[in-house]
Amino acid sequence: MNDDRQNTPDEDSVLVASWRQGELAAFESLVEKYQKRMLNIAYRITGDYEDACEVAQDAFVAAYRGIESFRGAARFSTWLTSITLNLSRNRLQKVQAKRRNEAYSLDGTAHDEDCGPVRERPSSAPSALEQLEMRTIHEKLKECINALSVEFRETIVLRDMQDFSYGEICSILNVREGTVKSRLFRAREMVRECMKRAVGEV
Amino acid sequence: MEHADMRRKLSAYLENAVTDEEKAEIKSHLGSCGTCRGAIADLEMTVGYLKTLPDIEPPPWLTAKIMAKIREKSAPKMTLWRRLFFPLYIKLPIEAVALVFLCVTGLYLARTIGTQAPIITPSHIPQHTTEPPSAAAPTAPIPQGRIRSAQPGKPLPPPTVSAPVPQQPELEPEAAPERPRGEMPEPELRPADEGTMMEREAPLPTKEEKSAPMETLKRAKKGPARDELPLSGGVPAEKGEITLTVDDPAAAGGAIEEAVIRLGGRVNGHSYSEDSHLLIIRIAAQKVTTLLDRLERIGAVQERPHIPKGAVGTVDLTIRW
Repeated sequence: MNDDRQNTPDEDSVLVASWRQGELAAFESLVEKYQKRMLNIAYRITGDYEDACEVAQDAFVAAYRGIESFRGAARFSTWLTSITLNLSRNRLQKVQAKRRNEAYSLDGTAHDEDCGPVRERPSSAPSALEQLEMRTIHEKLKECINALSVEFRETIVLRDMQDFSYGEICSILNVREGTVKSRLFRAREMVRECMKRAVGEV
Repeated sequence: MEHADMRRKLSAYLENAVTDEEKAEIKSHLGSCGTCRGAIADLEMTVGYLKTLPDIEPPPWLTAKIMAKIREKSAPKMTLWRRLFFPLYIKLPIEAVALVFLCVTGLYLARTIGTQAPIITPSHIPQHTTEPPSAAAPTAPIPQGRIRSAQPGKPLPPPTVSAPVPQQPELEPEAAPERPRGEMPEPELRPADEGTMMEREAPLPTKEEKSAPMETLKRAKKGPARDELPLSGGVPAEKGEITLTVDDPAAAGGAIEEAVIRLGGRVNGHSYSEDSHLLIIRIAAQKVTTLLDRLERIGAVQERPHIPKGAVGTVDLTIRW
């Protein structure tokens, strides 16, 4: 799913070390390497592309400013993901609080022209009908994920979409493995139930 | 393991995240439980769909924007001077204080100029420039001492004839720096030029000489402007003097001036010192009685002017207290 997953932690360590010595180019390399992944995590948590863009930017800025707190015990990607998740959570809470205070609008979510979702096309070329069907399923799936509460949402995003290991998820969320498994089970069950209601038998 | 426990473990079983013991147990259970087989099939399909969700692409400007923010953060900090004066939370109070200072200064200036405004009327001045000094000298001794103080050590010659009026424009600018700006001798006393005035002031009492620096005599126009005033306009029909006894001499000045102005009169000059207060006014003859009534409210009128009944035109009055 993500090409940057293949990079070894050693490469990150070298870049982080250079960055600590004041090389901005090293940090820029890390930005280029992880921006897509962080953007996707933020997008799946916040459910909004524009918010995700903001969160991704803030996450890298926060990482830059907080490099002193990164001891190197965890992988850089894990540390960066925890920052992104925290910011995404905060953003989601703000948005939800705002929505509660605002009257419900019939208009769809407005997207900035600069920040419209750019979707990645599948590498295979399915038929138009299959594409339509898949798009429908994806739309429904997205709605089902957005319906989850944040702790289930982030678990399913980290495991099923970003392929973090159980150990990494424990480190990112700062919870025990049993909790991760339990949350993942419940999250998947809820998504399955939601999909059943949305498009019939999955 | 119970059926419910099996169901909870199915998610982890799917990813081989269970112990070997649990794995064998679940595998055995799935062989006999159709519900769990259906559940695991659903789970597998759900996870499959989740994994096929396409990633979104970052906007092309994202890296540049992040790096711009980073460069902004890592830019050298502002100097102490800039930190003091550039942030709004510091700049605003400074500007507010400056604004208040300007307002207070402006108000002070407006009030100062406002009190002088009635004096800046040209009609009364020319008349006095033509009067002989000897006739006016006894009526207003106070300003003489002050003016003389401009040259305290200079021996003064005996009174001589006043210089001709046309010489004033040349003489006044030279004499001006020697005395405080804006000062004006009493109109009756003011000679045609500074030189003759100084000569005439020589025989004044020593007491007035000592108190002279404390006095403030104000006038509206400087010397050269006097020549521009009409010589014949506004000549009063009568002159008189009013002497008052007041409880608070310092505060009475404002009240008296206000009374004069309210009655349509004009303050031509004033001289306030610690022990002597003098106000020279011009007022309509018909209003003199009313003015005296008003002055009675301010203090006790000791000396009244002798204005004949039925007098018309204006009257020049000197009010002392």
